[in-house]
Amino acid sequence: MKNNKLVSVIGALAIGLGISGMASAATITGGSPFTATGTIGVSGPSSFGATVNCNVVFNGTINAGGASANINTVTVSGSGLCALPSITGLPWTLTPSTTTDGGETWLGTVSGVGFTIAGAPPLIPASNCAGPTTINVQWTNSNHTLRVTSAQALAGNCNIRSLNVQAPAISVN
Amino acid sequence: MRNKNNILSANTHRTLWIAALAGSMLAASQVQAGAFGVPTYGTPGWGRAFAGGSMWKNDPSAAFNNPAAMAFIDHNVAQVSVHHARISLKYKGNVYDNQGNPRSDRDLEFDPAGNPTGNIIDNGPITNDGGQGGFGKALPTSFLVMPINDRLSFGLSQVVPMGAQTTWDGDWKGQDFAVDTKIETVGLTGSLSFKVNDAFAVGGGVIVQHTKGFISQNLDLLAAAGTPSSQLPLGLPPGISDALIRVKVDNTSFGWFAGVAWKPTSRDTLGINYHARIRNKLEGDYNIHADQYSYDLLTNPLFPPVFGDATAIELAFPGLNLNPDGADAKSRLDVPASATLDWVHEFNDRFSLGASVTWTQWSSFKELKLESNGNTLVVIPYDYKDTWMYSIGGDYRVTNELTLRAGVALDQTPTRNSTRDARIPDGDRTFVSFGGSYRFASEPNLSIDAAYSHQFVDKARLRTVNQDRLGGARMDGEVKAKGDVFSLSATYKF
Repeated sequence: MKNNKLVSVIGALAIGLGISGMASAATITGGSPFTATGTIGVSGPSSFGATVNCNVVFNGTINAGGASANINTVTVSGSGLCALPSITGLPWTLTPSTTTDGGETWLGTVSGVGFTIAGAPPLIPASNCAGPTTINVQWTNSNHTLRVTSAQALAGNCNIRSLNVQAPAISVN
Repeated sequence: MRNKNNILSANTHRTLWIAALAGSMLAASQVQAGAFGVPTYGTPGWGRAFAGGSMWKNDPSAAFNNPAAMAFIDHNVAQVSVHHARISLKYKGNVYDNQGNPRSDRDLEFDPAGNPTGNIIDNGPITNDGGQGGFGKALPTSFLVMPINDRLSFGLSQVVPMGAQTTWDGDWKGQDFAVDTKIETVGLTGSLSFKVNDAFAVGGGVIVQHTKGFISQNLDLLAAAGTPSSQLPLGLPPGISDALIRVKVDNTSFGWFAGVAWKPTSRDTLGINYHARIRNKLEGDYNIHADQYSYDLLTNPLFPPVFGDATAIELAFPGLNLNPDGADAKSRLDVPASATLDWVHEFNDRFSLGASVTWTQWSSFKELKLESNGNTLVVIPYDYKDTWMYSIGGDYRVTNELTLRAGVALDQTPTRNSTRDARIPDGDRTFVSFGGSYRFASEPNLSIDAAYSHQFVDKARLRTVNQDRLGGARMDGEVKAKGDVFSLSATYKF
């Protein structure tokens, strides 16, 4: 009898927590497919640890239910080493999770992140940063901007030093 | 009048003096004045700090400095001088890389196959201030004046109108600005004077000048690739590339000079002279002593699948092609025009005083441009300003044999705070000079001169920012300089 009561209490707690979690879950809304454009700064062995700033375009779709979105293509452009990376792990998955200020700013993750650069001996070392790695990101509704607030380490001694892309068509609620 | 008691015959004397003059032309270095200009006087002139120029009685340096004054020389006069200069240069300050950090020395880490791993070994900031950047060298200067008749005189000279040298340690913190700089010239001149009357004369001459230039410095290739003007913005840590570029050029060029001399009274001689700008197009070659990675960076395609055959340097600075194995080099280093007003006054038969004002058109030196095969490798702006030099000095004849002299000169630097660099870290200077002549009683046509001149040089602030393609580093320091010149000459009338 006591065991049944305990099970009931635990079940109630679990349901309660589930309801609470559902209440704060983020939903991505807006146009799908969407495009996000901006800049990305990365470093790795191929740049001898220096940050290479490039233009980047994400093309993605919002997954059913809006809890996440897939980034299906990543196009990096710009001068110098920006032409070298090969993107791996696509699609990357953007998952907003919690808000820090009542819905304006959301913290979340992008999973599956990785890239490689084939070396060009004897000048450019290879970068094998395919991972995949999950990085922490921040979404801001007012300017529809996805960014990283601190350097995000990837596999293979690579880092995403900065990310700042805008996707005007989507929001997170 | 020629002395009848000469031990050697006149012909023998002439032969010996001409041989001495020719010998003195074989080597030349520099005794630095403003920037890379060099005073062109014999030992007596150095003893007076150039005051009065060549307006002094029987001064054969008129053959170059003011040929008109040769008209008032009534003997053949030859003079050979040797000046030994000892210039001290010390740098104190900092050098910052293009990221604003103290210039450090770094190395790449390589795997056993010799390929870079991507890791960088930081050896820390460079502390070497460059050592003693000055030099000590000797230079000869020679003059010969030969009256042809009562009105015409002929002059020959060997002078060093231009020269400079700085030698910093190869691994010093300012290696991206300068390591070696050497400008050497030797000029041979011929001149004529015409005595219009006993009080007025005119003169002119031509100079053929050979100039040799040598500069070296480190090229921080990876730092250059990270500068704002690079098309390959990598932002790599500076201090990785060891690539010493060495440029060696020379040229022979021609110029002219002219002057007038006027004796308004029996005790005064005035002169004004003008030396025209000598256009000096230097040609030679360069090479780069590079470590293996820097050599590969200059010669290997950076990433053929994406960039084709372009090297990193060609990608960073389109049109720039550096060949470490050597290629042609061209540059230009003109000798600026100058004009001098000289005055000498004889107070009595023992004491004379001279004064001079010299204007030099240094503003003609805008930049140092290095080209190769029609491409511009680098342009370093200097933007010099015109300068004035003022001097006053005199002679005092103590006995018939001994004359003492002294003088002081204030010489402005043409350099500017914004562009002054470690190659020519010049400052305003004051020459304080002493000297004397001794005429032998047994050989009254022969006199021996000695002079000592000390240069007090103002501290030269260096706040130069390097060209992007040279790595974009910044100097913030100063150079303390001083100089001593010891000079000896023999003057012979025949």
